[in-house]
Amino acid sequence: MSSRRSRASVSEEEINELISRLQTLLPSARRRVGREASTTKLLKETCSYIKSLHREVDNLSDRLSDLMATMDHNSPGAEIIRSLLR
Amino acid sequence: MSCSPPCSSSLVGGMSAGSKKFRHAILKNLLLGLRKGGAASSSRGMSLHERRDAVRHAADAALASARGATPRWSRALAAELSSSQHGRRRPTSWADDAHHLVDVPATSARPSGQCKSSPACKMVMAGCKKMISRRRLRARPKSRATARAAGAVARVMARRRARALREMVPGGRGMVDECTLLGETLDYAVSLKAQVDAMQLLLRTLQAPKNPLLKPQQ
Repeated sequence: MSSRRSRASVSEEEINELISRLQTLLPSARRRVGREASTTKLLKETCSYIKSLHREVDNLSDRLSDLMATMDHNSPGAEIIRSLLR
Repeated sequence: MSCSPPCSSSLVGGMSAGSKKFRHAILKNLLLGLRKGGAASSSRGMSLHERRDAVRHAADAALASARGATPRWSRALAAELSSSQHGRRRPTSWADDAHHLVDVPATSARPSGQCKSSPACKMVMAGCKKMISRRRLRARPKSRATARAAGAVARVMARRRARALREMVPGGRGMVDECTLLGETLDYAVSLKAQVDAMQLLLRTLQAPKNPLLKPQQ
């Protein structure tokens, strides 16, 4: 993992590629017509994106756990889980 | 210095962070972890809080195991989960068992550390230890080209943004190199999205019991 290839110009390209990939990944960045998104803004949006994903995982965990609390061995939900695991 | 994000390697059987195969692996690991944890049964007598923690833990464990040891954040996340499970009182020992159940790529070539649990845990923890000891023994040689690349990234990333990212990506605090941080962030964001997708699918599936049994997503 710790390759010590010294290719500064290629690294710069890689950075730009990473940044453009971030841009295509972010839902809001895609809406922007031009590509003049400043890098700082992009990184700020990445931060909010990851934060919103964290919140979503928390929310889904809560809902899943509530749902599972009502499941017993014979409920359809349990059967689905068993069949998916087969 | 290579700045590319941790891409798919043979360690995870050709799975990249954005693929459907990856999402499926998360879903599978999640189901295994939930079933084993007893979160799926109301007769276990778990408190609401305990159950929520169990589900959250299973979701993160599923994510880290599905992603494997390639990216740094994945190893860091697995390490965090391990330490929290040993430190806290748990209703059952399912959290330890969950590590045994997750999908482990068989091609892991890492030497096993002294981790007493499954191949998955060994793979991840050994990677972690290797990474830590490597950093202590070898100071990063700052060649001119490396410094130039680092300078380019520093220009690009305002310090405040880098700090914010470091706090959000698991293991980010250890990423001094902002180039690595950027790649890890990208991989982490894509993987998180896959985790959300997998959990949403599971939720939808369980909420519609009248439907014919749905096949796992392709």
